[in-house]
Amino acid sequence: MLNKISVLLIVSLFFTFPIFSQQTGNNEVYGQVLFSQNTSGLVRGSGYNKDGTKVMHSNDPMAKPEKNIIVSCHPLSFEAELPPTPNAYVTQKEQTFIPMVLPVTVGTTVYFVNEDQFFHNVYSNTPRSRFNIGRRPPGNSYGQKIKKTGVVQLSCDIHSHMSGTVLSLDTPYFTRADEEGRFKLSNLPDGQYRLEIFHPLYPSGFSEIIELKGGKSLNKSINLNKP
Amino acid sequence: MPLKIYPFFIFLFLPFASYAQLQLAWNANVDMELSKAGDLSHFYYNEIHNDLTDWHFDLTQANVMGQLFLSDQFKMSARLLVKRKWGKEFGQISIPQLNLQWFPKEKNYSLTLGRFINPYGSFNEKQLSTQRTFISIPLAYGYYHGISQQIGLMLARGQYNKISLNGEVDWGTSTVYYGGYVGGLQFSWWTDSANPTSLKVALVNGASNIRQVFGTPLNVGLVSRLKFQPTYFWQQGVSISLGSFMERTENNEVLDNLNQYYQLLIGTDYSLGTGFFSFSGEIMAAFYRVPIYSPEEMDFLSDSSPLTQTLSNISSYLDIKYEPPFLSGSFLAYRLDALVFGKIENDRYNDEIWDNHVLRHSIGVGYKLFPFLLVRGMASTQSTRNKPAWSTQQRTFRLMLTLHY
Repeated sequence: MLNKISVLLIVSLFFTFPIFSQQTGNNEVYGQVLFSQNTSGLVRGSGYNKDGTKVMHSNDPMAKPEKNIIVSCHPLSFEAELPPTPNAYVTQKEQTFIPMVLPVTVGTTVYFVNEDQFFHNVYSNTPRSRFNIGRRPPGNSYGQKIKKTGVVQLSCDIHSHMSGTVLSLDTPYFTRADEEGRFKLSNLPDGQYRLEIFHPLYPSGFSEIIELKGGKSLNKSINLNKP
Repeated sequence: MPLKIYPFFIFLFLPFASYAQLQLAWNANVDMELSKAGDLSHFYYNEIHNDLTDWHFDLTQANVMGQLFLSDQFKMSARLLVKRKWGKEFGQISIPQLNLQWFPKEKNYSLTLGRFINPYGSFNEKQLSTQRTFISIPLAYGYYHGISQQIGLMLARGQYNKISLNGEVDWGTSTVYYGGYVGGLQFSWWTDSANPTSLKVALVNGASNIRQVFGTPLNVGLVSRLKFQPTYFWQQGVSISLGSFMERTENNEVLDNLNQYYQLLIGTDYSLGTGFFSFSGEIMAAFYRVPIYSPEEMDFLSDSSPLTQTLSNISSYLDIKYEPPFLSGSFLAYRLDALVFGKIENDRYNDEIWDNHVLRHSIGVGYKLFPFLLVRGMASTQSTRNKPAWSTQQRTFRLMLTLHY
């Protein structure tokens, strides 16, 4: 009896080994995203300057583009589990979405919290990811499940200058770069990946196929200003 | 404003530039419209020109807006507009906005010099179709009544028997000029508190009903708006505007001192909302001091000198908007719009009202097909006192596509 069980275990281990072999490994990708802080030149406006007064905008660091660079590794040679991202909150404070970009795994429920003393609304007209949570009073928190991958643009129909992003990802391997653009993604299983950079001021971003195997430590410096 | 004046303003603003930080942010939009309207429609009644009452599709407006950030304290704003002239032929080019703004560092006030949005009321802020629920504009802004910038009160305007001056029919003026811009100097102040309050005071080139600018004499006006928030779901504005508006032409040479004729506007605007509903609108009272032009005598009424008359009207609109949560980017809306005129307190006119009251109902729908494409449809009907037959003949149906960047 014991021998039969042992044989079955050995056989099952034999069949599952190829899968485990791809998902084991302690690889890492680290480096720096370089970009120009100079925003001189011709840019798309944030809308019509309707009343000539300055609009309210938060000085929170998480409302600044340089704190909202997201680096992600998308497995190509295996399928990763996609647990919901914990603590997925976007606050509306001083007529600003904070953080400016929230990365989550697809299927996560994102909570929108109104921390101002007036009404806010959150809606998205991004194709395939449309939603509208309506006007929400101060202190209100509302959860919205993000069902599709990609960039989900957030707006408030009461304060048209407000703009935010939920970055819905098909990978659990992502991180936020620091204000110098430095990043590090650890514990990546062996396999082939698509390395992507999302920067709110560089819509074309960056994408490259990389191979990680056997505890590799890959250093990538990426200059977003280079075509 | 004549286009040849603008290069002068641009050179005036250049010394404020810090060239290392120059940034030009721009947006654009284009409106196209399919319309059909009743036979007695006209641009000055319901914005549909009398020659275009059958099914008609054309461009209505194209805009390029730019903000040039000269430094961290100075900014220029401009808008280039191509629109239909009198609601008919597309191609009239203008620069309705060109101004320089100064935002002192870490201060809660600013100064604006040039041509900017008239701070009166809340509708002037909604300059682009992407900011508006309805395609048509409220009666207070779009309906021309019997006060002319050349001859003052003209009673025949509402009788479909137009007064022709210099070979052109004088359509009168709307209560507030629909173009929405004024020239002058504006002071703005605001709070960053939890309950935002703002105040604007502007010294401008005439009353809020004025269309012609830089004419003779030089008209002067003062406009102010206080905006505050009584509670989180309610914003309220209070506005006042006082200024002269008459222009010297060969038709009013007998009138002395045109600056004595004025328009005073007092109004309040509101915006309330809850969930997927919003309610917004304005109420305003207009008071005029004008000369009286007699269409029968083709001259001004006078005793030893031309008579003056004080007139008033009240206008109000309410917009109710619903945004269905199951179809994000869409809305349904209803507008109730009224314009009521006071009596002419003069023995000759036997307490007549000086123009016919108007009541308009509008329904509208809209949907943002893509982030860059908005489609809206609306239908309206309006009844006019003393002209019951007009109610069916001034109906409108309009479908508008708006592309924006």
